[in-house]
Amino acid sequence: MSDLLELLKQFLPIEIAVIAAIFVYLLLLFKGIAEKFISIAEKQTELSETQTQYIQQRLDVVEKYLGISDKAIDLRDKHIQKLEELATQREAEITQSKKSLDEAREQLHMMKQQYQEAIGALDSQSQQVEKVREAQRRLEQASRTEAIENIVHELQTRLQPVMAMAENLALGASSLSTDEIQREATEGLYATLALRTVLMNLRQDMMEFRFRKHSISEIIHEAARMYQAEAVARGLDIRIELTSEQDTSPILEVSRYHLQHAFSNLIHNAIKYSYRATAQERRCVEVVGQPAGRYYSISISNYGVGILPEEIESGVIFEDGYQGKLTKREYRSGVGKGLSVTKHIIERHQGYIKVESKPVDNQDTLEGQPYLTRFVVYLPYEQSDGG
Amino acid sequence: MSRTIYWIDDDTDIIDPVVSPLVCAGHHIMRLRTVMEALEAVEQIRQADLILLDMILPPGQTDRQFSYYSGIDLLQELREVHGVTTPVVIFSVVDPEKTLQELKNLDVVYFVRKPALPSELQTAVEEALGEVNT
Repeated sequence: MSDLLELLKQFLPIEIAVIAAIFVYLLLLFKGIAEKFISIAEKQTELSETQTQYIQQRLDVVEKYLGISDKAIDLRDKHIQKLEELATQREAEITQSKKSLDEAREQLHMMKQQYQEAIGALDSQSQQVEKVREAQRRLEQASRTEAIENIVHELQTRLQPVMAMAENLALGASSLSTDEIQREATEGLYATLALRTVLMNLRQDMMEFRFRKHSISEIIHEAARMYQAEAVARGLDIRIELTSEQDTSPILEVSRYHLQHAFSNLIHNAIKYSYRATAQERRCVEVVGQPAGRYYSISISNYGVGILPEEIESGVIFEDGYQGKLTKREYRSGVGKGLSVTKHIIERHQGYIKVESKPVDNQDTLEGQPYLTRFVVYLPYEQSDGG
Repeated sequence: MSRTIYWIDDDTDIIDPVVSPLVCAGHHIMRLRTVMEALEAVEQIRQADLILLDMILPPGQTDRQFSYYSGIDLLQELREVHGVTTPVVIFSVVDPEKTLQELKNLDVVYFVRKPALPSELQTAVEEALGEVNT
């Protein structure tokens, strides 16, 4: 300071120099203070910058954390969204399950009711079964009675022409020759006697089959003779040809009168449903027998009213009371019993019966579309276990 | 005097000799074999002098169902639906006792049971025709 004063005295009055020196001294002082302030400020600035950097770094870290947090929040939001979706789905599933459970309960309730009803129905059904059995027993009895009535009808019908011819001959009112009368009367009497025999045996042992060895040829010839007169009236021949492995008449173990009844049904049907002979053409019913392995087969064929394929395929033609659709159109008589009885008899013999019927392309008939129909009966030579 | 007789029976082929005396007496015998043939000939039957009727007949070309005594079904339809008053002689194997009341309700008074002698049938037919005369 004194140096400065001495310097200033050289130039300035002492008063002014003193003032100036004080002024300069203050300036320097302030400068020093300012420099210190500046230095402090600079240091503070440095510190601030450092702090700023630190803060910035912290901010960066925070931002980084914030970024991670944002991502985490996004993920969590997405997760929450998914959880909400799952929750919604689960709620829907629970609702559906509740609905299904309700439906299942309702079904269970219905099933319980049905079960109760079924239990009740079973009780009444067992009573019904007994009633049906009783009705079946009565039906069988009625069928036997009706079978007897049918045979009686046939028998009396065949007696009628014999009686009529006898009186007409006696009164001289017959237009037939003696030979014709003799033949017709013989055939008619034979038919009535055969029917009477069948009837008597059926009455005695309707359901009792007695299996013995018999000549099948005798049985078939007797069955055919019962309806010979009717065949002649229609202009039909009955041709019988039975062959066997030996040169003798085939012998089978059969219940004679039952089997004769069965074949008489088949032969009578063949005659009844045959078309009449024309002036140009004789017609016939063919009975052909031949060995067929462990069976003996007998076929009865005719040309006339046929059987529809659906009636054969369904087996309805053998049902009790069924009348073939084509027979109704051709006004052939019958009450539908013959074939069911025949089938029963054949099966009782451990045999079986087949039928085929095919239309024939021939318009030379007085009636409708002709068919060639063939019934084939297969009978074992012997019965197993006594039949 | 010649009369027209409708003979409704499916066995006319076999038992034809039984009507010989009637034919010899000059009567015209028209033969029908089924229920439906008879129903289709209602007008001719109405004009006839007599019906000779079997009680058991095949139905014929139809899906209609008839009872076992289809002849009675036929007669009932002829009488009640078509108003046919032609006298009837039942000629059948059936025992008339089984259906006596039904036959009386249908104005049947003559019944000949098969097998019958031609003279028996002729007598019944001529008595029935005699009733028509009077």
